[in-house]
Amino acid sequence: MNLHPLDRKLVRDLWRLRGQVLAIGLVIASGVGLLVMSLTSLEALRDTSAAYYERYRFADVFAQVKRAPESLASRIAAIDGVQTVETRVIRSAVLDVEGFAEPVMGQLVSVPEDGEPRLNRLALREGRYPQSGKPDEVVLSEPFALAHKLGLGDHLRAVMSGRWRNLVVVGVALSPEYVYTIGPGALMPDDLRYGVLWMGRETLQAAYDLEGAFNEVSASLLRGVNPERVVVEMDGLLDRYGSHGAYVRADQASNWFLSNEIDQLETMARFLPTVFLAVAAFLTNMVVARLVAVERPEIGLLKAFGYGNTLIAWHYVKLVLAIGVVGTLLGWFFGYWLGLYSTTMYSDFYRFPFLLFRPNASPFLLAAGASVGAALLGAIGAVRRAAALSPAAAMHPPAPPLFRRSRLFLPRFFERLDQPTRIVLRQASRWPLRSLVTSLGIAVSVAVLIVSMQWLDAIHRIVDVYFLQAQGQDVSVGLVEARSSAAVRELARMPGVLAVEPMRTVAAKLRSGPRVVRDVVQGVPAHQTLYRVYDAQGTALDLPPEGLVISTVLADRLAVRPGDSITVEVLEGRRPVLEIPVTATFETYIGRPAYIDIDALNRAMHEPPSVTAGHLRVDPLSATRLYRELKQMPQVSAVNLRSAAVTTFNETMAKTILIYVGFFIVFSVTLACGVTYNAARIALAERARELATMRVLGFSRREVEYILIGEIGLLTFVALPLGAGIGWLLARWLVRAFETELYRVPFVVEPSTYGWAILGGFLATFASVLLVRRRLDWLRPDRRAQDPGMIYAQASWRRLWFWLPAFIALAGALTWLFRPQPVAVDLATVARGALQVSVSDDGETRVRDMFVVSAPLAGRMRRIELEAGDSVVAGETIVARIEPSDPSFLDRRSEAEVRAGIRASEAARAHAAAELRRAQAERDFAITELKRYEGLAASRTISQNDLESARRRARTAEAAVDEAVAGLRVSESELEQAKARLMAPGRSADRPADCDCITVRSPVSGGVLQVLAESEGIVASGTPLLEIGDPGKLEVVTDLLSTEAVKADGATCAHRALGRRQRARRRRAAG
Amino acid sequence: MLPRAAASKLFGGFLFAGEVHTVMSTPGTQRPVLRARDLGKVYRTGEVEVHALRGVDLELWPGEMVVLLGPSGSGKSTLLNILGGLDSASTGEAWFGDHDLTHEDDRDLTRYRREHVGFVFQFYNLISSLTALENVALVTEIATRPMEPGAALRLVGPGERLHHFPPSCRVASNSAWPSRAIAKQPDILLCDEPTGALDSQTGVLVLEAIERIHRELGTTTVLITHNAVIADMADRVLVLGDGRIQQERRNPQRRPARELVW
Repeated sequence: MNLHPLDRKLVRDLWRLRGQVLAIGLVIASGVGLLVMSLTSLEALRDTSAAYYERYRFADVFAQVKRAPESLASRIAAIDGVQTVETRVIRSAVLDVEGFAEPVMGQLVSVPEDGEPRLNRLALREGRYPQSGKPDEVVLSEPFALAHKLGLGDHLRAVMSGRWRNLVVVGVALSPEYVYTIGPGALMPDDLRYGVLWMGRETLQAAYDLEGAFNEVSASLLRGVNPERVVVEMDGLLDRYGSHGAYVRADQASNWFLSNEIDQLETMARFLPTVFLAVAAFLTNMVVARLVAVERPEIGLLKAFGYGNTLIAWHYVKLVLAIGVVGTLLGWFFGYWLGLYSTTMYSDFYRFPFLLFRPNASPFLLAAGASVGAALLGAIGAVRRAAALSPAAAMHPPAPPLFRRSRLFLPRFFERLDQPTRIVLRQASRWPLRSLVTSLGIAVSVAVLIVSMQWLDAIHRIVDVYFLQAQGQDVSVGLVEARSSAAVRELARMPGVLAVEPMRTVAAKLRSGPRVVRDVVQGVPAHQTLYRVYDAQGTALDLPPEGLVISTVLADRLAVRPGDSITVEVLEGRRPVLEIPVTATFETYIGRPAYIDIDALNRAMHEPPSVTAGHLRVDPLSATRLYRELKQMPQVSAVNLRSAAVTTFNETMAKTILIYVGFFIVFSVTLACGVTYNAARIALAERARELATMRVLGFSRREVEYILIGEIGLLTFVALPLGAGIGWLLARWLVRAFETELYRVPFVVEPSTYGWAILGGFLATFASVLLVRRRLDWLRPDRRAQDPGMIYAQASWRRLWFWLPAFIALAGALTWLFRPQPVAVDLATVARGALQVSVSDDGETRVRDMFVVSAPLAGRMRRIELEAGDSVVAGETIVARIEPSDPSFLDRRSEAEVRAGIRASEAARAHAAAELRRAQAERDFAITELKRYEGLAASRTISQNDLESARRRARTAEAAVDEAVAGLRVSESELEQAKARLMAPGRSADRPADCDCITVRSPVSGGVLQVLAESEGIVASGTPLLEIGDPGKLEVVTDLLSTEAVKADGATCAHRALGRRQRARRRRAAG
Repeated sequence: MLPRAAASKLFGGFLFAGEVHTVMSTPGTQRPVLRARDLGKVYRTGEVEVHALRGVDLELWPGEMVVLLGPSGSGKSTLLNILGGLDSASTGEAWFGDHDLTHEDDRDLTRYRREHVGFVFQFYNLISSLTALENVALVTEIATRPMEPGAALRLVGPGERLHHFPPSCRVASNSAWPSRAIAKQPDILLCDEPTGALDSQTGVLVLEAIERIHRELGTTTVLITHNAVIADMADRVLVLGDGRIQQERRNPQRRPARELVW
């Protein structure tokens, strides 16, 4: 070997320092390895999913409709930018897999019978597509098939259109559309309870009455086409077919979850390893600087020989490069291996049909550059500091700083300590910076441990809050479509159901200015007991009667605050567009929900009370019976069990994030060990001369050990709480960076996490010290010298003064940190009370005594001014007025007769008039004759008899006139009568107001329930006009089972449902 | 390999003439190798000032062997460090030939040390991870006219244990130590208490080695010690005290190192 002597020195130094080289290498390797692992696996995950989507033609735009004619497909295909269109039939169904009691939901997806689908192709793992003419054939999604151990040829059953169908498995496949197979209402894939089944298109069309039609359409787009524009155009075509709105790939459930997961991993991959790398680089820098600083005398010597600064610096750069290369190679190796391992794990979890692991060089170079760069900076800094000294000064050990009586140590306290302990204290305090750096190194590795383990706490907290505190239901049942609230009663009657809470969800576009979010608005009762609107802070919220309560994430997305209004474009039913104010916001860990009072939602939808889901509290003893019955209900589209959700959540987390966290913890421990070992080694190197001197002075080996270990121990005691503090800060900072739309990671560090980190840091230091202790053998001043033994034996108890409090503090802190944590519970006061058995059911209320007011006689009724709800007083309130009715119409013959009658009457009148005139003439003559006869009679010209006769004639003539007058009057009346028969019917409208109407008065006091004949018009006698009753006197009608009915006491149950419902009806009546 | 006989031949009788005492170190006929004028050095440690040197005037002549004698703290080592370019003076000036050592920068001083000065330190100051031979080679690698390392070692002691590591082999240390200083064939050999850490037997061996180097290579040698006995082997003795040269005397006759006893 013809090496330069300096290079030989390098090689031998590396060997001599192999422990430290390895330790620093591990620190570097953990930083590098973590970054490489994170970035390569993330990259692989992205590459794989992109390639999967590409290869199996995952569509770009999707839309669901109720039913649309097949001909629409060509119109969609004609939209500018659309490449391929595929229409399908997709329905959900309840499945029955033998040996599995709980309900299983299946998504039935159609595939063409005449070849591969054009979009969303299946990656067939085994078997084949269903064949035409074989309606029972089905392809299962692989996760579902594996979970139930179903293979080719196996059977299962599904309820299709209310009928059980036997299906046979002919294939097992994966699909880019169902990478993340999430059932409706679920948060995590549950392969046991939710699966995808692909069936022949004709089969599904026939089963769901969709011949020549489809209910789902997906389209792929040409490159560079804006999908939002296509969505708008598709909405225009599909709106009338009951579409909930087309959506882009980014909103597709599986992809949304997948990309959220990848985003989260990406945040982890970017932040944690970066922090880690930075910490590793800082520690490397620190350790290398001190490693080189120890070499100061050699640097001085080399300078004395005439070696220039550059040459010397190069020498140490090579040393550090060698260490860096060892670390980097280790890091690369582990990083690559772990990257491959975790990618394999992820692709298993996500069930990618293949895996692309082709890491590019940049993470490797980045990590190496950062680590080695930091190491070099540390080394060069130290060399510069050493080289700045004159060689003479460098060759001597650094001049001890002036000892000052530090005020830090109370003299009295100090004097109680024995000499070695004083040395420990003085050493730590006379190089405060160096001590601080050592403490900081240990502290940072404790902090990194905390940051890594914080994830476990956070996930634990999410499960606790989201599943255990917020949700009180055992089972959630989703319905195929919105149904009347009778469905809730139906659910309540099912076996084992203790309580039901309704929920109504509607798909909607939430809009605020230019910001739009497509989401679901959940209508729940104002005061929920099962599925609670739960603030992450730990409080359940009651909903206001109107207005939205939304999660802060959604509020941020829409940039609204309580008091602002959101435009809710409902995508279902009558598709109303509503302006709803936001009344409150609340924190959530998962999702971005929006809640509204269920009654308010139904009112806004202009629909009677409806539900789309029910949350059930179930008696576990009857669960199996309940599941069996749920399977039989055709309107059930989803059944989610909370216990299963918790399990799948934990499993999913274990398979995704916890893998990461596990690696982080391992790396953190490595880091902690590397740092503490180096700190101990360097402390030894720095003290070597002094410790050797002490050995010469006669200190025993144990004493010397004590001084070294004591110093490191002291610095560790300082470092542990410091590390807890740094960990707290770092974790808080990191948590902020980790938000995705799906999750907010809560900032929770359990006391036990601090405990473990502190314990880990302490043990790492302890192990390092034990390793370093062996090196003290070197310090033997003379091999032949006898170990003088414990000189200070009797003084050792004095150390306790110093160390005992520290250990007690540590033990106390650990005990406190590991103390059992209180479990959050809901508190309620238990009181002795009467047992109340209640039979509850909904019923109809009605007024007990109802009076119908009818028309007393036929006639024309004036308009009734009373309205339903007005109160009436018996015998006072006039409820109706009736007047005579109009003359009827004359037909033409009658009219001609009437007119002829008039003419006859006119003639009769003329005749009577003439008769009168004749009688008058007769009378006038008779009167004249009488006057003459009276004169004659006075002259006794004529006889008395003649006079009498004349008088009789005059009176008779008078009477004849009266008779004629009466005759004329009769004929005039006859004429008027005849004319009256000609009177037109409409004329009566302008009769005077004060007609002789009949007024109808209320027979009883109470309120108007209903006005039956409101408008003015002719009424026959006996026609009902209005209903009057007393709403204060109601009765409830409920259909009960006879077993329950006999127990129900009318008086007690009547009150139950009143109140709200009564008001509701009144309100409706008033409106 | 340069056997000892060959070395003798190479340097001829001229070098061995040293045995009949030097004729070269006659002031006046030659220029001094090193001159110092009013050298002063103050160390500052915190608020304390230590005057290590308080104005030293000095001239060293080619081929001369000078012993600086003085008690601990008299400033011997400081003077030596300044003369060797290991440290800088606070006041005054020092000249190596035409080079003003007190005003040269780090780079020039490094070259001065590399090309002209050989050091023998109080403690061995050997690099423990290199063998005796490699310790010597460390110096010859960068020297302008180096000797072959093995030859340098043999010049000092027995030519064995060349490949032993110094800390574990006393013999290797003893020979590597001075030979490392002369392997570059320096103009000046500066020895800082070479016997300080040794028992008298070993001390004599080391002094013999230095004497032989001086004799065979004719290097101007400065040796500092607090041991008055050693002063007998010098041409000239300078006694330092309190940072000043207190006394200068010339030995009429140098005593061979092997006769020294303390």
